[in-house]
Amino acid sequence: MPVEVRVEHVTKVFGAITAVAGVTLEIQRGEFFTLLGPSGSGKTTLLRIIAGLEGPSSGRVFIGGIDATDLPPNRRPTSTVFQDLALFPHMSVGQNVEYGLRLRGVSPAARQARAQAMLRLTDLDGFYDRDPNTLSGGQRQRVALARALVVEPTVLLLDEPLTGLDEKLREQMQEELRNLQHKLGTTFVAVTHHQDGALSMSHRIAVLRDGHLEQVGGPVELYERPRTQFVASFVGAANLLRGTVESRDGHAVLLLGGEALRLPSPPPIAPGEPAVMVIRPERVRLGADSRARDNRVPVEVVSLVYKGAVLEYGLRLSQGQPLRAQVMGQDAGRDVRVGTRTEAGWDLRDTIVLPGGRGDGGG
Amino acid sequence: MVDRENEGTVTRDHASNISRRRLLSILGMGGSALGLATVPLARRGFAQPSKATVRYWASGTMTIEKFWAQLERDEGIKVVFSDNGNDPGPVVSRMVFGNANDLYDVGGLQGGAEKELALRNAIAPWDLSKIPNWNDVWSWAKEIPYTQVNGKQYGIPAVVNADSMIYLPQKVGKVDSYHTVFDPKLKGKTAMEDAWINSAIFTAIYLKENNLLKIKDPGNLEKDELQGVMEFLIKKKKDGQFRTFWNGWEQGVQLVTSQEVWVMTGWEPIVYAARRAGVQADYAVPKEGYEGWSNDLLLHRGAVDRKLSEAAHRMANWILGGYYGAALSKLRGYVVPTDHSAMAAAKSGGEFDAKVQADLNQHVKNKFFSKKGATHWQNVRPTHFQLYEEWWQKLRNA
Amino acid sequence: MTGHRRSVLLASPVVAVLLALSVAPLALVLLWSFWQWDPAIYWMRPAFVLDAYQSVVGTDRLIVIVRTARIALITAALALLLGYPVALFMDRFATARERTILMLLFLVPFFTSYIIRTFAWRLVLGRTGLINSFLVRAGLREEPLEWLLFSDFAVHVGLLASYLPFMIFPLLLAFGRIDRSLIEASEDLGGTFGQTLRHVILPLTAPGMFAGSLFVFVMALGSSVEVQFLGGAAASMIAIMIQDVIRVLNFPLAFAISTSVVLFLILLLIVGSRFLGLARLFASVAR
Repeated sequence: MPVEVRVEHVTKVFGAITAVAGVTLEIQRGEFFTLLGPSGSGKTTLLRIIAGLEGPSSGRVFIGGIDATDLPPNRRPTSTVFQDLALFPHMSVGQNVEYGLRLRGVSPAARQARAQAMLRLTDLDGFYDRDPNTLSGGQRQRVALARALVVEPTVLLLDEPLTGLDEKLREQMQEELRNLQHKLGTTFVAVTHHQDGALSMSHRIAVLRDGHLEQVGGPVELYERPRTQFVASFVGAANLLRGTVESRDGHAVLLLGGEALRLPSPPPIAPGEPAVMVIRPERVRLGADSRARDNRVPVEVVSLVYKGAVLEYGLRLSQGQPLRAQVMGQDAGRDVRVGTRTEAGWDLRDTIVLPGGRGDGGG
Repeated sequence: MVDRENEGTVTRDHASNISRRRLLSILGMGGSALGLATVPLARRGFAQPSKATVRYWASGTMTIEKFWAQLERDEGIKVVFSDNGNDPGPVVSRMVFGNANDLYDVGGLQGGAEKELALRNAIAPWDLSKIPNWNDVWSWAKEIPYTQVNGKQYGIPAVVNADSMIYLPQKVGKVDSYHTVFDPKLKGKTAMEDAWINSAIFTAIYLKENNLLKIKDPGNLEKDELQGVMEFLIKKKKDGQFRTFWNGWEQGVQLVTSQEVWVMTGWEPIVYAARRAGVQADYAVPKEGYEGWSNDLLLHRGAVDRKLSEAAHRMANWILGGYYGAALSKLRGYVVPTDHSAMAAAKSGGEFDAKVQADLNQHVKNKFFSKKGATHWQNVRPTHFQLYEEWWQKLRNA
Repeated sequence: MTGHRRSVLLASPVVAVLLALSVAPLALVLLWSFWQWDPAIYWMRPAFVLDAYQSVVGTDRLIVIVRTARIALITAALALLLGYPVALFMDRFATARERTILMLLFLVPFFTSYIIRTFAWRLVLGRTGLINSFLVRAGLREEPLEWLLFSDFAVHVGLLASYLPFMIFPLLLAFGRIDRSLIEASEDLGGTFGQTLRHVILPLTAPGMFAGSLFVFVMALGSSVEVQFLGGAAASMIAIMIQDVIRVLNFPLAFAISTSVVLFLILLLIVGSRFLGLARLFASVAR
């Protein structure tokens, strides 16, 4: 697949704050790409730089192979769905959607036809004459989408498209965006801090932190093989067990208070070094289910939260380290109750071991 | 008049010279006049043969401020001074219909309103036998026509003066006729005051004295005379004769000092201000005569009712007695029409300058003898004053 | 208590103040304008006559109202034409510092009396004023320009100098109410600056333009000093005419003129809302 957007060593400095620090990434044509990160990670700034709404302090931006760094937004083949949607309050839905076509000198009849088609596509049939101020949040979002898409951009930029929607609507919107992108084949670049949304919508995700790119990869890759503690903890829930790698009986183990946890071999971290073992809560087994796992530790059950499909346990290891476990509701052992002691276990294939060091803790 | 320090703030308050603040007070007056019945008549029935308080309601330029103390020492009369705004319309209205007669005992107003006020019984005639100093008032000042009604003296001129034109001799040579103001050769270089109260009479004097229009009394034009005068002015305005019509002291001075205007009708102090600003300006001695004006003492009917007539007469007599004149000349450069002020200045032991006072008196006197025949006295309330206003609108729109 | 009733109760002091401050005086003015002017007492007496209104229509007074309205309208239009680019620059292009300096520049003249401010124009526009001295000295003109002062031109200069800030400040408020993202959205969709200005900024600042124009128009309509100081010989304005009329104590006439002006303004607003969709603008101000 050809590269649609290429960001090359882009840095953006606002006064004393470096919002984006030397980010380089490539976005493929036709992919749904998400910039994920907490607030202040520089993801929105990066999106605005791609849109041309901000100029980078240094670095280049290529769109469709052309150096677009110095192009103003009105000369880029990108369209943006703004976080606040930025619908023109003095225009009807139809006028909003037609706006880009009007600027391009498309005849009224032609642009109305295209706007109507786009409204149908975004499930807004019959909204042409409505006042956008009277629409619901989801409907307004779709108007903004239609307005951005009607000019047939090669890249659609979405700034926090899921923020401001309630959870149900958010899921619906994720699906709609995914379907829309699939139907149109347009490159979508979205910014979000909702990691679940990012995982479910995107082909690939770039995780940003403090202006730096942490990891780029597909949802599975980010979830299963995070390369940093930050990615591990930001993308999905994770237990981070910190200890020191030791060699014991010819095996490398992670010493964690009183426990010695088995590490895969060959050990990814040299003995004597600090390391972090990452285990997703749903991979932690309790009670009888913990038997015959590669690692098994005694735990105290501190809390239990019923979440419908799953039960979430708060556990404490012997030295007080917290551990979270998620168990499918029907699998829950009757013997595991708050205040009791039991055992937790997991397999080595369900763990990732990353270099330790608290400075990298994050998330 | 003489060079004065305070011309910028105290000038002869022509009707046109109303500040906005004053306009507001006029508007406010409308309301208070409607509520006149509520004013308590606290002093009614008080008769004080020797000691008395007289409430004096006059043009703001008529007060002598701290020098009033002398009146109390001389006559036992304490003066409470109030500014009447000097706009004759509202003053007359408050006298006739409003509460001014309840609030004030003696009035002071530009001459001309006496007839109305007397006919409406708002003022009483002065008993001249009780004002010995009247005998020494300059004879022509005793004969100002509008001060008398039916042979009785209703107005006592406390100040007299006469106005003509300010001009720049280097531009227009010596000016001795109002013709210069209307001279087509000076198109766009002349001005008049934005007030019919002055500009109509100046024009009428010019037309009458040059036999261009038959006019009996330039100060009180008949309807057809007024029409002739105003049509003449309107034509001149349409011809572009006037650069502008001036409004108020500062504007008048600036027009002359900037040499925007070479000749204009107006007040003499403007000449002195222009000279101080380094502009050679002169005050014309017009062959047609000056516009004479007086500021007259009026005896309120209310004062008579309150048995203050006697005190008011003593106060009037004192005002003509010299000290007041010397003080007023010192404060404002105004002249009381009697030689007593010069004598008082001479006897004042340096408080007042006798030479300055004598020169000032002579200067004013000269104006009234510059021309043979009658002096044309300004009249703030001509019989057809409503018509004057209507004509003035026509002039504005021309 | 229902919400409606509560809001009525809450609004009642507002209504009372409105009645006391604006409706009541207007009602009195209207009432008095029908009273009869009695020359015998120099006052008006209760009556219901149209004398005053006949006088308004009859003796050249209507012309003054129309002329004043024309001057006010031109002033408002010029103020919009001049003020809009200034406000646009201040909002879109100026740094915070420049904006502050510009605002101060517009405010500083207001620290002096408007009479002095207006008066100062005579020193600039006069025959021997700054501009003419420059023109003559630079050899651009042999004779000074006469029409600079005591002319409609001078009046408009004076009125603009006095009232331009009343255009700029509502405009700045209107600009401030436009979300930056709306302008970005327009540019992002391909809009040049001109297109964004025309399709987004202008319509969205229309309430500010209207408010500013209304301020300037009404203030110019009530002005007198600028015309007295800078206008031609005995030039008139409504305020000057009312002054003249009050000087001869014809209060019913003065009130009739005032009533006519208020009626004229109401008529303007009605026409405005009919043809310019002002109601929609007001609604968008309210929103």
